[in-house]
Amino acid sequence: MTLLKAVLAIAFLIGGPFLGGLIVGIDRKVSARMQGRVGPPILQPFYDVAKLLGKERATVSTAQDIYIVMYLVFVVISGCLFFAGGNFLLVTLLVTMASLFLVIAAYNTRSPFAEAGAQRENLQVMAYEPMVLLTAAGFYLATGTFDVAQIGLAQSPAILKTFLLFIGFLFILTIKLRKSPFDISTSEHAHQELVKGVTTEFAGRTLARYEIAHWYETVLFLGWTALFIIWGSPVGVVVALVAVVVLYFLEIWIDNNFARVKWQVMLRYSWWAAFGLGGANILYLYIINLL
Amino acid sequence: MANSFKSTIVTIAPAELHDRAAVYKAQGWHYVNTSATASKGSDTLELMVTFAKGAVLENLVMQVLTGEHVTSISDLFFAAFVFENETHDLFGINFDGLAIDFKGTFYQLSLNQPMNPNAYQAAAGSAASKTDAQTGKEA
Amino acid sequence: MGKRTIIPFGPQHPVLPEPVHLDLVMEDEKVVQAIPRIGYIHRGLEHLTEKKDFKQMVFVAERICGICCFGHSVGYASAVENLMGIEIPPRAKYLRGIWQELERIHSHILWLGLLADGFGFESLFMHCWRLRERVLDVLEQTSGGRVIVSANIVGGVFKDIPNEQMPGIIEQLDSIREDYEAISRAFLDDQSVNNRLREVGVLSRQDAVDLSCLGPMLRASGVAEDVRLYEEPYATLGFTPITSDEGDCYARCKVRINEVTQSIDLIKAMADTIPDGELSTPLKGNPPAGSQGFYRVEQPRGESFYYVRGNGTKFLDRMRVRTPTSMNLAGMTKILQGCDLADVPMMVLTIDPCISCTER
Repeated sequence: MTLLKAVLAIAFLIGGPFLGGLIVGIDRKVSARMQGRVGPPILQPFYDVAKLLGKERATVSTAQDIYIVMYLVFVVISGCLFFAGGNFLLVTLLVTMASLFLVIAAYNTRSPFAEAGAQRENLQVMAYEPMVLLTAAGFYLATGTFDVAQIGLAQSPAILKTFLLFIGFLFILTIKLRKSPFDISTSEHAHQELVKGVTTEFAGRTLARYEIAHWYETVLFLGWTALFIIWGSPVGVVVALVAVVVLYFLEIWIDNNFARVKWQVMLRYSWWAAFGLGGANILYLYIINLL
Repeated sequence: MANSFKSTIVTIAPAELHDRAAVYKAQGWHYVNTSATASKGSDTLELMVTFAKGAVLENLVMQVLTGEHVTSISDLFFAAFVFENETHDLFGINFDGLAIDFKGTFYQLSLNQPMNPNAYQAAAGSAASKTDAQTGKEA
Repeated sequence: MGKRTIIPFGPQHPVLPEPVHLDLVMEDEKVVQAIPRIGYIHRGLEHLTEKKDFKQMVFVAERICGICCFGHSVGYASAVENLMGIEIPPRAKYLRGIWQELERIHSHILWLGLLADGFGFESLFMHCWRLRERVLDVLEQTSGGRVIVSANIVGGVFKDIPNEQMPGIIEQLDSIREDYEAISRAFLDDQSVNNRLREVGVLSRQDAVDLSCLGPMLRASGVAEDVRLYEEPYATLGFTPITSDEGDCYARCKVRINEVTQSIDLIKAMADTIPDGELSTPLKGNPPAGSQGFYRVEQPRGESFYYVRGNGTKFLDRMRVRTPTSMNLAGMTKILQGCDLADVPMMVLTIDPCISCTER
């Protein structure tokens, strides 16, 4: 059992960026086709990162490089822990810590655009964090454990008891994946008032590390989505994978059909999702546990 | 088939500009333009301020010298600040009481008052030293 | 009282269509003050009257801007015609009107795409610009140029749209109109778009008049001022300016959207009633000494004013172009005060800035 856990963790460590980059590449291609364009090749994210890694080091304030390395390291630790079947609550807190390193790196660049972007990233964390914590609580109340391995190998999928939490989670998944309408702190296309927001001043290897961390995060968050649906049989694994693919296409569709919202709207709707849907589900789980 | 535009030209003294502008504003005319014209061989610049109402254009025309001070109408018509700053930079006419005064840096020009031929003549003697200063900066 | 930072917005910024610079004094996400600066593309085109004679200046005037080019050539040529007392043939007036309306259509659709991009809706931006390509195809069929039409000379036009070509053009415009209605519904009805546009940058009717706003910015605050009311051939065809009452970014968007459909109708009316005849009146001599000519044109962005003065030679004493964006800058400065940072692109785009026109 421990061997399987180690294998899965190493598979995430090595294969995560490749899978994540491929997902992002397919995302860009599908988005382009939805807009009536041809779109870049599917492997374009890899070409981009390879180019970035080969650039000259020209950072003005070098502390930001260290913070981005910490961001990447903590995303990787969190993901390895998740895929090895570890404690879900710890996984979510490690990811939050990683995103705070990103915020500090942005503040460190002393650029007004990055500062405004960092402020917005803080608001984004405040928007999605309640839902993430309620998700962890919901898993515990539904399955009796925080352990990802046990939740994944359970007899029935967790979603049967956590359906409202799942809907709320999908809502904030858009924020975590940085997709319209919630791509407020940094958007993919640099066509917003903050230029590139949080990542404005990152370049070269630092930006490459940020991109790779984003790929790891994509795989990790899709893993969280799968955790709702998977159960302990091969059929469960297949259904979860198919569901994740369908949901990701839904995210791409939402990205292409909504304008970006302002942070007040994002905060309001996320908290409605968290405390409204999430809270109702938690209450329901609490009651059925009592009975 | 003629257009129904009508334009009239009224010659005034520079000191009357502000009062006349106030009358136009009170009567609901809208402000159109401030610009200056230089003619070769003439010392004076012709400053023209235009107002319109419906199909009618009225142009107030006055003769000013380079560097003369004229009262700005940007307190009555805020949008005039753009044109008065521009006229100052291109022709060298000073406007007093500008709502937003860029003090000569509205257009970052490399020549002073390029559309005013009189200013050009005066600067011709110091043109050599001016280009030296410029190349010195760019070197 | 939060900490004040200054965000330098422009002149090179992905969300700006034109190089205007704004120093935004911010407190957290609120703009306390915004001072615009221009001058990055001042080319001194008005000064070229010293080197290019008055017939060549039509083409210089056309190149003042890349989007409103035909309007500038009409304005300049008409001002010189006014100066020399020339009456151009009716067919030339109608042809000028058709090209002007085509230019208004492509300019407004371009603006709609930029607005969508400004609030993060890239797919709508791509669809708008793809639709605009079809308008540019029509322009290319009629004149050989997608954007710079180059059909005006002093005295009329020198390119013709043969009467046999007109039905084909109308057919293309009708098919463009169908797709256009679908896109405009995305702007007017979509919830997330409404969120970004409603009650943003409100300009009351009195403010719009006091700040001398022009064009759709003025008409969206309820003032029915449009130079086309007094211009031929529009006056003969019967023309009503499109207005709206709310005075916010949504109202300006709605006014421009409706102006496109109005332009398509105007082109149809002009194509149906265009008289036959000459394309231009021959010119005799040079602009007389001391003569002056004035003209006003309704560009897509507002009223443009043209003034020319002759001195007896073939070089004009002065060409003055007063473009609508230079006036609307004042309105923009006013609505930027106290807005959210996320609204700044909306405010800047809502005046439809054309800084190349402003600076010449």
